[in-house]
Amino acid sequence: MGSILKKYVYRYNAVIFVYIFLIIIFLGFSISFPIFRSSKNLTNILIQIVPLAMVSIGQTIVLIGGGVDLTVGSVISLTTVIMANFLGDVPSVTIIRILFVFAIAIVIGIINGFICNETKIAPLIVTLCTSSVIDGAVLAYRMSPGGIVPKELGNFINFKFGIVSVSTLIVVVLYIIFITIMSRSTFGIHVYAMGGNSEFAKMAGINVKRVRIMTYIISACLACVTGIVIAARMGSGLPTVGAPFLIDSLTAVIIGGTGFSGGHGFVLGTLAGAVMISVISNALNMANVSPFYQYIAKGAILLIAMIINSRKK
Amino acid sequence: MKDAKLKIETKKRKTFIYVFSNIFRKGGVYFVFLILVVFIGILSPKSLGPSHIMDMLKNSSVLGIVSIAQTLLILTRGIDLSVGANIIFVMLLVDGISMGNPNKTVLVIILALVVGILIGLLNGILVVKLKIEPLVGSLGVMSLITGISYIYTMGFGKGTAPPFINTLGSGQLFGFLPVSVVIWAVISIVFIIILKKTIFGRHIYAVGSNPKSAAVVGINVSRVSLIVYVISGLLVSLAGIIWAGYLSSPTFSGGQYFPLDSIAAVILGGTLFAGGVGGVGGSIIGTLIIGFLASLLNMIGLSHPWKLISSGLIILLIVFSYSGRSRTN
Repeated sequence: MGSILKKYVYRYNAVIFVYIFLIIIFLGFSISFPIFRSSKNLTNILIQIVPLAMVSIGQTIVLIGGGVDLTVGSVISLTTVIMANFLGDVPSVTIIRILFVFAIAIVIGIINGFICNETKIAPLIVTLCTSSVIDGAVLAYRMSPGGIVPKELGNFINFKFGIVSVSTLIVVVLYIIFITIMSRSTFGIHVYAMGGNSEFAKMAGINVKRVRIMTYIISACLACVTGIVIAARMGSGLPTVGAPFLIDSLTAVIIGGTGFSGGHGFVLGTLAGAVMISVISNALNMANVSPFYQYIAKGAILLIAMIINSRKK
Repeated sequence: MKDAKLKIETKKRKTFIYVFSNIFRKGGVYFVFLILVVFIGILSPKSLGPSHIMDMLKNSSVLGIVSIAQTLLILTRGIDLSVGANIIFVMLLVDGISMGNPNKTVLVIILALVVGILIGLLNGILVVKLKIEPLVGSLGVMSLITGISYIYTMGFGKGTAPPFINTLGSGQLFGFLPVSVVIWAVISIVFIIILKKTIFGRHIYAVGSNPKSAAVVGINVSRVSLIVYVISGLLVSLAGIIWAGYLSSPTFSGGQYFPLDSIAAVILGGTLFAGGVGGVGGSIIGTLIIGFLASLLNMIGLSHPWKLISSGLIILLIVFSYSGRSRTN
């Protein structure tokens, strides 16, 4: 029993550390600001974490596979404008819109993965260029915010069971699915192997190309889900809404203990990273601190988490 | 028999392709640049006149200086995403403290350079001493510096650059040569010489291509990396001073393009992400490609979205054209 515990602590020490850090921060805020611990605010936090927590799952998986996906922000923007505009203002097209954005996300994932597979260009440059193309397409389609997302979708996403909304439930389900996939399935093992050393993974008989394309498809699809949730909540298409999610998702993933070098990291850690970012910005809002300080808080937490992580290695 | 013949033929073809691709790979970026210039010449012959070329160079000079800093970092396996935030911060400091007062010119320049050195030192210590991955460390620094900039100005940049700094950013020597282009050229030459001719330059390549063997040979790897970070911080703050002179009033927008544009310029110039291979010369051409491409797309009359789309595709195509297909095929 003790040895099993030791094994788990050893294996997940980065994750355990992030959660301890998160709990300390959470307790600290709860003690210092009474408004922060009110049930209304906790409900708010549960809703606020949703987009970042979703999009960061995909980024984690791509980073574990040794890549990086800079297109997530652009895919989110793309999804919101399509959800608000595509095929005119008829409520019944919602399903078609959703299917259409997923189809586009899959194509984007395939393109990203394909280029990374077939060329020697670094993933950073590949996805930088594809995100520029997607951004351009979004702005060509819709220059300014507008369009209408059917209210039914918003009502469904925001429907609450007690303090838990449907969007929060979707996040929980997604985390359970992807934690299981990454830790229990062959695909997960293949992603870790590919990120650790793609040549060795290939020699071991893993279809590296397919696995890489799959990681980019997952990332694009999760960005797409995030876009749908944001569009449903805002009720309209916002061509630049995705931009901050790029840096924020990378920050959440890195706080969660996943590195840029590939082959290691945990989806569970990313959840803590995303929650931490949202909790801190919420608490700073509650404390009436100027939003400008959030940049400093985010940067400081990222650096502190990294310093402590690198100390342990 | 037939098989053997076929083999020889494919071998021949392979060597031909190899030779061709080798030429292309070595001179690829210059080729591409030439094609771009020819395109501009065909589309609008007037724009290749000296004054227009000087304009294009002037618009690229800040990115050019940042790309030199980025080249040094990528050569030693580093990278800096905080360059955009740093340029904006330096610009805000220069404008906000001097308020256009010529007597404070020396003060703000010294202050800006000190700030640059400190930011470089911070990035360097994070990466070299505390062993944080460069991409992550600079991401954190970017966030910090952006926050400090916002708090310093409360969201609205104030003041303006003193006349001397305005001259640096938008003035001309002898009536036709932009000062910022001269500064860019001088810095480029200095760093080409440093990289090619000095011991420190050799150390940079050695550290980048294999830090472990560099350490075995007796190179102080962490000192070399730290110095490179400080130098690049200095270069970026210089770029910030020029940016302050280039813009008529301080603004937060525009800075976000520097990190990724400078990395794209370096990669376009043939410097490898893995470190140890490449140089400043390629990055200059890479910067020019990005700058000339932007003005070419402007000339065709594309709107902003279509410019984003085409520049993304073209940069991807250019990098592909000389980095080639993956070896694992």
